[in-house]
Amino acid sequence: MNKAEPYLLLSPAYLLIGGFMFYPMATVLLLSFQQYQLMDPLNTPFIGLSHYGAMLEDAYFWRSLWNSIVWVGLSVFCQFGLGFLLAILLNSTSFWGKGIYQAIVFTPWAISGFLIAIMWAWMLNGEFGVVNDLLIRSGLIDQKIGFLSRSDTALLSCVLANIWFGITFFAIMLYAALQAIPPSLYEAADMDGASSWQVFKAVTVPMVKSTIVVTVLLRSIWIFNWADLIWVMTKGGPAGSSQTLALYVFQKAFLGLDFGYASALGVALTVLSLIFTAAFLRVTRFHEAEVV
Amino acid sequence: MGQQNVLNRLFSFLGLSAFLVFVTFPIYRMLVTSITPEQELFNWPIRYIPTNTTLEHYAVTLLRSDIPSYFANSLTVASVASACTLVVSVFGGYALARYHFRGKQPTVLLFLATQMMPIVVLIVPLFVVFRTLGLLNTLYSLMIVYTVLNIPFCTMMMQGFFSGIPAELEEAAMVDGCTRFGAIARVAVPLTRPGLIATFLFAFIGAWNELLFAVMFLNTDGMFTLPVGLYMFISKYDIHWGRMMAGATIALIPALAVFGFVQRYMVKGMSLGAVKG
Repeated sequence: MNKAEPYLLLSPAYLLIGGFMFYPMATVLLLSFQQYQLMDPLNTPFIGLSHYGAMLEDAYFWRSLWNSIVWVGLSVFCQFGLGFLLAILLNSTSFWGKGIYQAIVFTPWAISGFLIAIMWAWMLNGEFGVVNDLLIRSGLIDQKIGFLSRSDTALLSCVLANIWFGITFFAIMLYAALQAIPPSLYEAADMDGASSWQVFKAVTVPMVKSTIVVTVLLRSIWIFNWADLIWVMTKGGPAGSSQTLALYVFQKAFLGLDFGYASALGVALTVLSLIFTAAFLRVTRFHEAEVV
Repeated sequence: MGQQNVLNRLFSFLGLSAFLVFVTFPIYRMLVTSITPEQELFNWPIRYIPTNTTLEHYAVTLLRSDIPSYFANSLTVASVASACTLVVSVFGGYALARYHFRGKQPTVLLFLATQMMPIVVLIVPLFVVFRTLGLLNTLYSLMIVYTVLNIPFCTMMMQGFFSGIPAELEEAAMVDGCTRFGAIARVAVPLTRPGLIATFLFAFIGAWNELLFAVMFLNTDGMFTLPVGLYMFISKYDIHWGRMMAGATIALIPALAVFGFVQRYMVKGMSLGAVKG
């Protein structure tokens, strides 16, 4: 067998990923040390760490970082909790039409960020939104709330839309993991007279732990870097109250046309993602889990 | 025991119903809004089942807006990009599934690393790259980006599918005088047809749905993809929600059709990509 063959077969993938992912990633670092205004692309002197200095003093940067933490933390917590619950319900119940049920309940996963944003922007509309109608009918509020135009509800509204979208991912992955648990383990626990809670703690959770670790990690990083949904729902407003770090990167490039500063923010985003990955793997002792 | 069982079933039933309502309600609202006459949308309190229905929003969207041209652009970009992704992933996935070579582990790690990369960070440098190449405001720039973004995951998906078919068949073909390339094209690829379709469609959904690169790279109306076009709808001061929801429904249909088909393969692909690495 020819030794060069696998490399030859993989060469298009290497070339494209290298040229359009790793090379640009490297230039981001370079750009972050440059003054680079989109309107003035020929005048791009190196200015050292100025962008990073400016970033540390930029109140918007710190605010967007805090918003990112809330955005990721709340979204993942609820997506995981509800997704796990759905997976358990699916795994423990058999009923007629289960296949169709699954197909319907998993559909949000097929819907893109911008469509979800549009749907929820309409649901949460301050004048004619259905959420206001439901809350008023049930007597929880008596005045309509402009969910997307109030600084205390804008980010939470985006989180709600994100939860709607993301339950599916956890449900699919955890359901698959639950189904892979050998029934003999449950039978053994049953013979020992374990309560359902004990079985859950001693059998179910350890058996799906590695899936939990991987899915929570993947989703957290993905949501940390996801800007579409918030961009369409609130554009980060009002007054930056729903602006996350990923969205700030995009806005600096798209609206501010300041490629140098956007790159510095991008480097910060990348470094934070890496730190988070490392910390998460360490805390959960992933290398001791059995999957790798 | 029996009572316990009834309680369990009741709890499950309530829980599953709650999920069903939560998931379907926003989609229901979208569909209903798209067929409700404009003036009735501003009724308060809201009628959950509209008294009158109309297809006017669809007519306006399809006949008197640029949505059909956006649709065509999206279709072009997504088809070309996912076809390219598929070709690259077939070769790459085959190499990963069939060969033992020194670079295998690093390659897989490289692919996984790309899955952790903040994609939004790539917008700035790729903008610079495409300006240099003179591809800004063309659909080619998006075809390239969407191809590249989908390659790592789709290659790992194809690796999974090729691993699932026995290597003996290709070896037999090669003994009979087939070249390696011939064995891939005539034996391995036809055997993984469902896998090919799933991978193609997975890449298609990703390309069909992408917004931020498209917003950044395209700036003339004739070039807009569907997400960009709809985004321009919503950023206008005066939003026509009925038309908006009609447009959203039109954008949703291809993605849903595709998703219905790929769902089971995606689960497989996701677990392969995420867990087995």
